[in-house]
Amino acid sequence: MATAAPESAAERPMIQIVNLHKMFGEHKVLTGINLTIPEGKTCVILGGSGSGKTVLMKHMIGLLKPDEGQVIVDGEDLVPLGDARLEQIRRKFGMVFQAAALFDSMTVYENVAFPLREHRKELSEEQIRALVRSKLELMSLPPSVEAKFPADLSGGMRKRVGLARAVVMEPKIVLYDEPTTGLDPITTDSVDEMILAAQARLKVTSVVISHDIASAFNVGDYIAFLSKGLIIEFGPPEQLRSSEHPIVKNFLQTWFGKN
Amino acid sequence: MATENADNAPKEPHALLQAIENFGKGAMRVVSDIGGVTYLGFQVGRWALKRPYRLHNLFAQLDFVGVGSIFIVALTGVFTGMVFAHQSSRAFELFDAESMVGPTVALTLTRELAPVFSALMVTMRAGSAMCTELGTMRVSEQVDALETMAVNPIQYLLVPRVISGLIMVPVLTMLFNTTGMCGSYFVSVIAKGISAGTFLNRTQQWLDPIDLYEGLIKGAIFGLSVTLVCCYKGFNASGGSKGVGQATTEAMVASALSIFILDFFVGVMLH
Repeated sequence: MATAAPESAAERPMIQIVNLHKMFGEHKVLTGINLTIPEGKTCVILGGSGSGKTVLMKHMIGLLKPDEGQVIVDGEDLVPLGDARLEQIRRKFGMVFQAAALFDSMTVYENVAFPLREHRKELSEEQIRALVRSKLELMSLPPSVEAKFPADLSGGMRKRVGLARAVVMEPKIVLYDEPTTGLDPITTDSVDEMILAAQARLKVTSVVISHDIASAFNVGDYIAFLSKGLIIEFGPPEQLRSSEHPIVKNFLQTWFGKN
Repeated sequence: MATENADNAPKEPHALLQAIENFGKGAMRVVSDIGGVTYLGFQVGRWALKRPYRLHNLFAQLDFVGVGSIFIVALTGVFTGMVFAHQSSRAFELFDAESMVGPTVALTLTRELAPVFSALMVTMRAGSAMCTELGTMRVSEQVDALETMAVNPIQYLLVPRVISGLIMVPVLTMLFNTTGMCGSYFVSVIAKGISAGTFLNRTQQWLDPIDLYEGLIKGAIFGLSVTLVCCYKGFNASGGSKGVGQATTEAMVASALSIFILDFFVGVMLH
């Protein structure tokens, strides 16, 4: 098995997954995951459908408890924690969902302001407005979108609003669940740029769950390849590209063979 | 060879066994749903006591469930009172006891019809919307988004909805009583020519406050059960828009059944 940790000892780990096992009924989904994601870097978890990517991500944010193993976030193991402490830990995360998961009964402004109104009661409405505006600007969204409802936005714009909402609390970690699935190539590129721009400006640790090879190689500092509940390859993109593992080679061939 | 293949082929289960199996599965699902709704009720109670109290959400739901249902409940009440007065006056005419129309309508409305019909109206109007909205939020990951933002979805979404049912169905029950009696008065006094004094005096004589309380207690219990069932079904919806549609259908059937079943048991317990 590949060593699922960066080689440079200088990088502080932000997320460490140690020997993670998870079963649903009789079905083994994760079968001993070991993975270390360093602070301030973008790690893409690449794998085919049904490989366990989303289940792994839900463990990272404490939405699922493992059958065995540890999930250490910023030095604290999530597994033994109760609901109250888990909710505090979750404030270190921002998450961008596959279909953005914006609240469709709220406007764009209300969506982005939502975490602030819930958790930063000390802020005045003017301060909230300033923070929301700054995050929308960061995502290259004009003030005119503030009053719109999610249903009135394009797929790419919804993703941007989703990211603005995810980073408005200035989290340490941003999780992206299949950010480019179902988008056209131009919008895919713009979402990749959005991830890179957010990474450069906010200095967050990013974890991207994807099966989009081109996007993974565009945005990832590290790529972890997940197959049948196990990380079978981990390293910088160039290391993955020269991997001799037959499953990885076969998977990458589907894209590099055509391009 | 062909015989061997025929022997190896899976045999169709006997129709009777199949029917018993289907019945068992259905019964298991009902028991599981009752357990799920009860557990959700305890969770809602626990989260309702915890801070932060989101009064804005609660008032929005009170407005939606209560104020939004005023017209339909009032209209149903008027016509129920009118129909009931009309039918009972025909029966009482047979033995010259038209003076009993008022009290008969009043007792039936306050004890049974007002809480049952108000809860049914709330189920159809607000319960279906609750179930669909929560189901859509579930399948489009909006509920997961709340959790990842460290906001408990039971506290944020379900607590205001369930409390609004608990408060507003009794209020609507009183409205139903009022409009029902107005409808009954109109038919009895204006259309049938029963003396207004007799109608009002007899009603006052036979109707006790305890009859009103019985209806209000029933209304609160129905409001709680209906909102819990609709929230449970919506909150656990899966399988895209088809799953949401199915959850809403199941919520409507289960809510209506829960009203009639609880009506019997609460009625027995209160007497």
